[in-house]
Amino acid sequence: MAEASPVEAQQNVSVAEVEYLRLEVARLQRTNCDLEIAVQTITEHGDAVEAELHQTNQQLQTEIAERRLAQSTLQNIFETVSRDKADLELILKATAEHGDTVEYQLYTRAVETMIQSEELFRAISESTPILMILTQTLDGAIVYANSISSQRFGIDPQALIGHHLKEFFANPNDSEVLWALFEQQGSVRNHEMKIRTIAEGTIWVSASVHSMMLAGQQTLLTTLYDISDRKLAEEALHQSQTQLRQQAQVLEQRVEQRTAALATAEEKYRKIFEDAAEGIFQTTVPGQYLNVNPALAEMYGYDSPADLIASITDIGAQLYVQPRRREELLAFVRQLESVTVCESEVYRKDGSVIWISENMHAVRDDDGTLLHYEGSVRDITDRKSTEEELRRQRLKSERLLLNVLPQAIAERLKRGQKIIADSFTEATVLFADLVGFTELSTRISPTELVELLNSVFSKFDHLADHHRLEKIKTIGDAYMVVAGLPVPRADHVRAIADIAIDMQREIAKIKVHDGRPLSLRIGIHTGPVVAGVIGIRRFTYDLWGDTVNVASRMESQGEPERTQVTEAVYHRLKNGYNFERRGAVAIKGKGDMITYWLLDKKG
Amino acid sequence: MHIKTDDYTIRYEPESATAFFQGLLRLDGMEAYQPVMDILLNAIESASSFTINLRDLEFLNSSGISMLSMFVVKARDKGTVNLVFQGSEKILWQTKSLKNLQRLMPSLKLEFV
Repeated sequence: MAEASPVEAQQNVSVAEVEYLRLEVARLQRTNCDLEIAVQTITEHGDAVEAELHQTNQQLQTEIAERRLAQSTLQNIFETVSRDKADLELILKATAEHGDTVEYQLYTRAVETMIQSEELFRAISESTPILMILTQTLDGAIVYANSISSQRFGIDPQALIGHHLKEFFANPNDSEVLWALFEQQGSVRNHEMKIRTIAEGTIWVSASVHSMMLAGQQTLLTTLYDISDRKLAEEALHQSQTQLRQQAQVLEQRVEQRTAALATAEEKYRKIFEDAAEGIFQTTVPGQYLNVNPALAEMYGYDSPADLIASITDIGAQLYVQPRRREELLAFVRQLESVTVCESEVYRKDGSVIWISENMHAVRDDDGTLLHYEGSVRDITDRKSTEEELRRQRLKSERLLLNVLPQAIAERLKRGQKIIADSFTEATVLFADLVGFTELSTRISPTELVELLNSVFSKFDHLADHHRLEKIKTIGDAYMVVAGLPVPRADHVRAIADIAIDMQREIAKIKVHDGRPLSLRIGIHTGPVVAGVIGIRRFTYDLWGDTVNVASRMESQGEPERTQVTEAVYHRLKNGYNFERRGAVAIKGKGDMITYWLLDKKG
Repeated sequence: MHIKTDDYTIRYEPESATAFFQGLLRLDGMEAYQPVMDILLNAIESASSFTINLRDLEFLNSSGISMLSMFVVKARDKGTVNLVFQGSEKILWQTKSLKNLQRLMPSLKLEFV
């Protein structure tokens, strides 16, 4: 702007000011407009930015949430991994410790085992009788030898180390032989050779060599087993074989001698066969003689053994009296192989019969096949007849004994009983006396008298047998019989009553030569008696007791042709028999007794 | 359910929920122990308590103890089983190694005779 006066200047100032103001307004208006635009722009821009920011903010929020989630996931994973790590560490520790424990145990055991096996080796090597030697090579120096080796070689175990094994071989060549065998087979087993020992000198051993690794070095174990005993035994065996051969020769000689002796013996036995008193024979199985001795031919009545062999072609049919006797004997022989003392009757050549006793046995070969029969024969005819006679005599004496004694009593005496006295509670005794016999004896001869008595008593004997009663004895002209012994019987009283009736009837029939009849007085009583045999000579069966005495009194105080019985008899029989009462009779030693006459049987 | 060989026997008794280990157990590697592991895992599927009796197990190799460790971890993670190990004082490895199993699962019970 140009320079102006003060008014003008002043005016100028005012104009300038207005202009300035107008310009200022315009500028302000522009500015205002700009600002409005700016505000609008800014507002619009702010809205946009705001929207953008909001969006960004939204994104951030989402991201934050995602981060948080990831972080928590990571945290979880971290925890799991940590735990797994801890677990694994524990498992590793457990496994490692377990491994250590097991390893420790195994190691300890292995050491123990090693020590044990070393001890075992030492125990074996020191206790075995086998020499055990370790060397580096076969001709090398000894590195170990067991104590038996040092004993045998006579050198201290320590001193033995360094020696060479072959120094102890009896034959130095054996070293090469062993080596050759070892090279060939890789080992040596049971090579027999000799070694030198201090105590026994040279002995036989069985040598074996085995190769092994010991502390990384090839080592040879040589074992030497003393076989001198076996060698000795072999030698002994050899000797005994020689001895056996010699003995066999001796035996052969002896057999020859024995054969000769046998021939002699055979000759001897032939003579015995020829000269024997016994008959000796050999027969075929079917029954022909093969061989007989002279004694047999003579026994059977033939001229010679040849005659006998030719004549008898069937022993079974021609020789024995009893048919089929030979079959019978052979059946026994087949079963028992032999029979002895078989007694048979045989025909002699002339048809007469003799008794023989024969032994016979079967002769078989080694397979048991029957070849023939052999045996011996004795003539026992004499003995047989003696035996027969003896038997007859014995029967006779037994019959005689039975006449004197009841059979049961005789049996007891034969069995050795010395005294027999049996008590019987019930028996009935009868006495019968021939009346007037004494008077008769004056009229007839004694011979006639005895004949008469014999005929009467024989009749009574028959009656006693008939009634099965036991006759005791006869005393002069009296006859005594009893019922109820030695075998008790219930009807003893009736049996005696019956014989009494029969005896009276029989006696009435007998007439003596002058026509006068005989009569009989009979007495009977029943009661207990003792019966038996006493004494040692001429013994008889007899009765004792009051019953016997009373029966005797009944007879002696009776009447001819009558039978007097006691009251005891009457009571037992009154129903079956007829009686007549006699009344009181004075009996000696008894006083008065009521007695009855037995008449007859009722009905 | 049991395994039997010349060396060892493994037998599971469902009534008492007990597995018995006997003999010398030395299978070769973890894979070889899988059948044993299967028996054990199977057993704890249904049971609320389970006992492993090792009293007659004389020998167990490292793979074996690893298998038992893993089984214990699995049982622990399942969280519902009361586990009991029965061992013998006379067998050295049992006195040492079974304690380490307890460290994997503090609720595990050890019974020694």
